[in-house]
Amino acid sequence: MIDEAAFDELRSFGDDFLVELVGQFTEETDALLRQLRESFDAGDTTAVGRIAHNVRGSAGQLGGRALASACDRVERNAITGDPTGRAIDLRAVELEYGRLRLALAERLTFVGVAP
Amino acid sequence: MIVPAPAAARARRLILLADDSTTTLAIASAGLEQAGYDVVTATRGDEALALAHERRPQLFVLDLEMPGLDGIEVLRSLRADPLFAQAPVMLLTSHMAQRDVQAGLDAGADAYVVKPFSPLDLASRVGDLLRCR
Repeated sequence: MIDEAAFDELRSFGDDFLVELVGQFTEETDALLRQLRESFDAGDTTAVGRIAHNVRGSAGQLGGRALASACDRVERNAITGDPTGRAIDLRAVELEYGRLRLALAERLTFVGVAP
Repeated sequence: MIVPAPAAARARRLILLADDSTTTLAIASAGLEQAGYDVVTATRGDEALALAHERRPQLFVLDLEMPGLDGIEVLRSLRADPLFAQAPVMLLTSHMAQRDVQAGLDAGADAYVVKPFSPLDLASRVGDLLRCR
């Protein structure tokens, strides 16, 4: 679920940094996924692509490859796919984000710092 | 015999990081600060340009997709400004297509780094760019 090498490098900056970073990531991504859903419902595929791109970048930095891949698919379909938006799978993004949040919380617990 | 470094070499270098993701800013800042750089951050392209004139950084790390002005627009503004025409600029982005890389380099970027990046490697690349100037 999490790229261990990426996570370990982030951990090298200290446990306080890691806890703050995960909190910042979840706060930022919670807001972005709300905007993603609202943009999708409004038929704004340009905004859908831009937001998915943003989440892809930060998810990859925290080692969340599956979420980054789901965002990549949304971004590509938003830019080049079906203009009705039927090919845009927001559920996959939301599902992978939930999994990543859980995995990050478990990793923080495992390394002995509170999420 | 220990030869003291010139004052300019001892001064901490200031890096301007611009990215619309605060998560990415935090990770990049951690790597650069650990390597001994001072860092200022912006989440918008227009904010980055204003901050550049206020703080006069020695190097820029720019995301491509930002509100206000995108990274290429910021880069072109820097290259047109005598204050920053020669400043090292690194583009840091999730866009990995060759045409995106070429567009960045054609606009005057000195380096192009694709996300996800290692913050320690990023600091190393920044050091390389500063030594080349």
